Amino acid sequence: MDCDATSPAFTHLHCHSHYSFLDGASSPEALARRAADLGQPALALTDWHGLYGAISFDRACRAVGVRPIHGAEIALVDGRHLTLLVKDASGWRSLCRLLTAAQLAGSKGHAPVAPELLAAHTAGLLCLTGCRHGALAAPLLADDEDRARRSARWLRECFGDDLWVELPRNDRADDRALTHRLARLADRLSVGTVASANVHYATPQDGPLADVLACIRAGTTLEAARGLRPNHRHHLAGGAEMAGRFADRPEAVANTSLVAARCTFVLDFGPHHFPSIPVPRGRTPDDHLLALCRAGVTDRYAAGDPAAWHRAVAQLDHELAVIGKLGLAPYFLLVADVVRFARAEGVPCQGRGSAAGSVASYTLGISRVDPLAHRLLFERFLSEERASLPDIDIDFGHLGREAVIQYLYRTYGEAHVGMACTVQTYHRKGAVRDVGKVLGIPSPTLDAVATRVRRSLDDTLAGAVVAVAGEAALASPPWGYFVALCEQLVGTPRHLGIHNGGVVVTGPPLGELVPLERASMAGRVVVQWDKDSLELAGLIKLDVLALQALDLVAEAVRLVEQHEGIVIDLDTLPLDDPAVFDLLCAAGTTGTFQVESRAQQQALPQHAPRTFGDLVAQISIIRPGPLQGGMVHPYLRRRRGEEPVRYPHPLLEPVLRDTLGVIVYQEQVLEVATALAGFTLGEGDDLRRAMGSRRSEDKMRAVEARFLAGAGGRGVPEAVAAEVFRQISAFAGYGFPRSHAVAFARLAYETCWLKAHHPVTFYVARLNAQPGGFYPPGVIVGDARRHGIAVLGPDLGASAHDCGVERAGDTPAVRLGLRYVRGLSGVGGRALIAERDRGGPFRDLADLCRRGRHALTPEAITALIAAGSCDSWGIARRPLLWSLAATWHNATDLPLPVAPPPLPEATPPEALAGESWATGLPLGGHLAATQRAALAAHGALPLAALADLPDGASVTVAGRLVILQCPPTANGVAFVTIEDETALGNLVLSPAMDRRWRAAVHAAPLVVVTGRVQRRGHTVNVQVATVEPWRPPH
Amino acid sequence: MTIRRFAPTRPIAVVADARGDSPTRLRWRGRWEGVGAIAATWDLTEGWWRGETGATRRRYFRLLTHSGLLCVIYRDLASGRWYFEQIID
Repeated sequence: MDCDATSPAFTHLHCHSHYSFLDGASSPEALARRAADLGQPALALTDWHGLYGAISFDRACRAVGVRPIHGAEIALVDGRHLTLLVKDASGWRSLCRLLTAAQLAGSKGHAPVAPELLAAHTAGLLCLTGCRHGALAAPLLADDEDRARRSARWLRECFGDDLWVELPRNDRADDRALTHRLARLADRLSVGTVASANVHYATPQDGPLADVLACIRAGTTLEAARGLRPNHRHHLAGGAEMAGRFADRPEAVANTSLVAARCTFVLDFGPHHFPSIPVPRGRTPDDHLLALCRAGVTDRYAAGDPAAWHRAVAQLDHELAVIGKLGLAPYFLLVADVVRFARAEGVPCQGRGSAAGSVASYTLGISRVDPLAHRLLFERFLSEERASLPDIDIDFGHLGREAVIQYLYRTYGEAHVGMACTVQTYHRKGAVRDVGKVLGIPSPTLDAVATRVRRSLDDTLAGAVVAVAGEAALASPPWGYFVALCEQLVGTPRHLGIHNGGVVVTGPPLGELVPLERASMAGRVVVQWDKDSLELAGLIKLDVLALQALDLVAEAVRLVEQHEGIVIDLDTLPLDDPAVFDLLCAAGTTGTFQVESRAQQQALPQHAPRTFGDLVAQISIIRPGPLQGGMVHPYLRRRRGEEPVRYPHPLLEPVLRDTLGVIVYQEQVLEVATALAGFTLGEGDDLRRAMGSRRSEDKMRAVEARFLAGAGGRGVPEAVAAEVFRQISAFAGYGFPRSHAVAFARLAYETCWLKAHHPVTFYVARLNAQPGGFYPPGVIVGDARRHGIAVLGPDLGASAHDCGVERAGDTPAVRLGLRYVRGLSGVGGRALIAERDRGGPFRDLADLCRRGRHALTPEAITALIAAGSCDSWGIARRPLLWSLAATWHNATDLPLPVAPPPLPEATPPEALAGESWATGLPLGGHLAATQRAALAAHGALPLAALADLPDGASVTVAGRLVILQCPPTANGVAFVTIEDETALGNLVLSPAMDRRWRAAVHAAPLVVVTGRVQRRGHTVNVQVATVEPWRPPH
Repeated sequence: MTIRRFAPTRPIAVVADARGDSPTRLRWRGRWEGVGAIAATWDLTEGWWRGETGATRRRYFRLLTHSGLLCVIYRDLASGRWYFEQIID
């Protein structure tokens, strides 16, 4: 009936999407589609205190032929609500300013609007008097007619003709009585009325989810909830239904069209809103950019091959022409300015992502790889035809990133700089927990389901429920509702987070373009749009990211210069050093960037990279995307010549030739879509967005339909097209663009080069750049020792705060810093060193207690002693620990006797246990080494022996847990890495073994494992059959 | 004015319009009464999470019969049956 062409014209002017955060149950897309299905010409979106969903809503409406109207619902400081709609561009600015001011004056998640603030921001806005909690309805429901009248007069003064009295009707018992009184008030003031359904979801079927959201918001269960809406009639009703609800007030229905017609605003930011960058007098930004790039191209290319220089100059001219046409010169100048600042401050930085495909980026110092030498294409980064503009991402050293952000605030002004947000949406695990709690499911049961979900033990959520509660459960409440509600909840926004580096810098004040609000981090402000919305709005952001590996490399370079007198220029490092590739082929990559993980180390000997190009492929292929697409093993087999290169379809040969017929790089996804299904650039952008981090099943289905239709049109068999789409879809946003892989490969190469040529400084820098990397520091220490490098413990006299290089006789060694001693990583440790610098070395325990007491707790001194940091006093650790309490006391009070009784020497395992407690590191050697004879008697082999065992051999090994991974792609199989004094060892655990494993690890520091050797090429795993905690024999 | 509430609510016989949406006649004290005016209608949905037997889904009508009886009746949307809830004298 609703779709009837004779259905009365109606426009919903008060409508919440799920961007009202737990107060709306439908996406803007679902609402727009519903309005289109009902034949409604326009739809307003009025989410709480924000324009979070404005961009998606705008696009979704246009896609289905509904005219979008933008607005927001606000709460005044007295708690009463108002609905605001944007009439024109000045209204958008007013609303952004108003919301920004309220958000910044409030606290996170609470942004009441002061009356004077509203009165100052009415230009271009239209006001409806709100729902049952509105400025007029709430006093009327409380029988305070006077107050309602006063509010109405004040609002009419503020908004004049643009005030409309909103009549909410939702099939509630007192609807008519309330709206009758509202209408009477409207008549008295000669203000028009508009019918409203106070929409909170698209269809009545979404009502249960809205109830669930209300309970999550209130932290209660459905049974205990008070104040749930009394029915499920807050849906986006059709014109006929609204006309029925308002049969007695047809003018209120008709007025919705009048109000909609007044809202003519079109969301279009037009040209970019870059800040003005200072340029020399008489020059335009384009001139200035040209000058900077010309200088850079000379620096980078003039000394080399003249042909390369000519190509670079020609390419640069082409790029600058495109940049000029797109009006992006100020953006490049902005980024170049940030990079210049970082370099001047000694903050290491390098561009990542597709920007590395540009000679302009390279000459400006934004990226560090020569795009011509690596055959990277500028068109992947920028082209005149592309519908969207990618942003430039730059990695900075972890330590300097904040300084860079502060520089932006300082240089371009607080009002012009903001961080992009991320919209945190429900994942399955969170949905299971929250829906389960609301339905009153007991938490142990819920935990069991959540654990199965987290470990992907079942194909579906229903499967997990059956496994926990039995087959019959699904048919009965609450489980019957549980599965459907969880699935509906997944993807619903929960709250805003802060993007880990996306900075937006604008010429006009940012708060006039998009509302700003407080982030949870003190003093930080985020814009209400995430990166997708910002991109669609044409507000380009700059990603200021932190990458600890940059700190590692910078520190190693500094230490090499300091200790070895060698100046390393990373930018001119040849990329063909055999020592680097030997290290890679032997998988000796522990501690390096990108190629150290277990999966990488297992693939390295199989892939055997011998060129920089191989390394680029290596870091790209061991990624969740290619792994999930099932493309890794075919790629490795083809690379070794064990199977022929095959293409899913001949059309794909040109696209996949370089990568042996599989998709390795992100760009190839779009190329495949173009080659096989004839996607245009714009459709390719849709595909990219649909697959992005915030994946939408709806959007994916739409793209898939287009893909299959396009491929069918080119004569591709449907089964082939479907399989290729499955690969694309699995690859999704989890692969690297080639330009990004080149940038990362360069950094990976540098870490490997440092490890191969300057291992001591490499390990020192690696141990200082923490936390970071795949392995905990203990494994780095073990790796150093297995490479014959001495690692000296933290020493009260010899160690600085950080780790350093120390000469032990003729050979350099790693000296651990005092920061590794428990309780000394922060200010206390630094204060202790300051005291040592000031007053000389600590002579004995009494001296340490006296001079160190302002910096240290007795527990920290205990840790220093247990770590062996005080061994240079020549007193055993046990007597020192015994006398600590009395010595600490004596430092300020009357002396107590401190001489200890005779104490037995600590055994090696006891000393190791003390060191491990104090530092988390295997200082005096690996625990397994102290047990080697007993382990051998038990039949356990050293882990290094695994390399020589044949496939299928039964084996017993022992070690300490290093890493436990349960990737969601592995159906509950866990991958465990253990370590002994000889090597790391890789274990594979079936889901059934996993629990026994956890119990064993809790019971003892070493575990003994039996199992069967699985050998695939150079890769060795042990499939675990039994696991026991190691009990040393007495 | 007094309000008589039926607790528990009492089943009544109702004849609804062709679409089954609104009552046209109801049986009161052994007689069929024509419905004169419907003053208000509203919906109630509660306890849906308890399953069909525990849920409440009702459509309410406050109406005036031709004989002047002012009452609240509802239709249970699961069973389609009608009940008296209030009589307003």
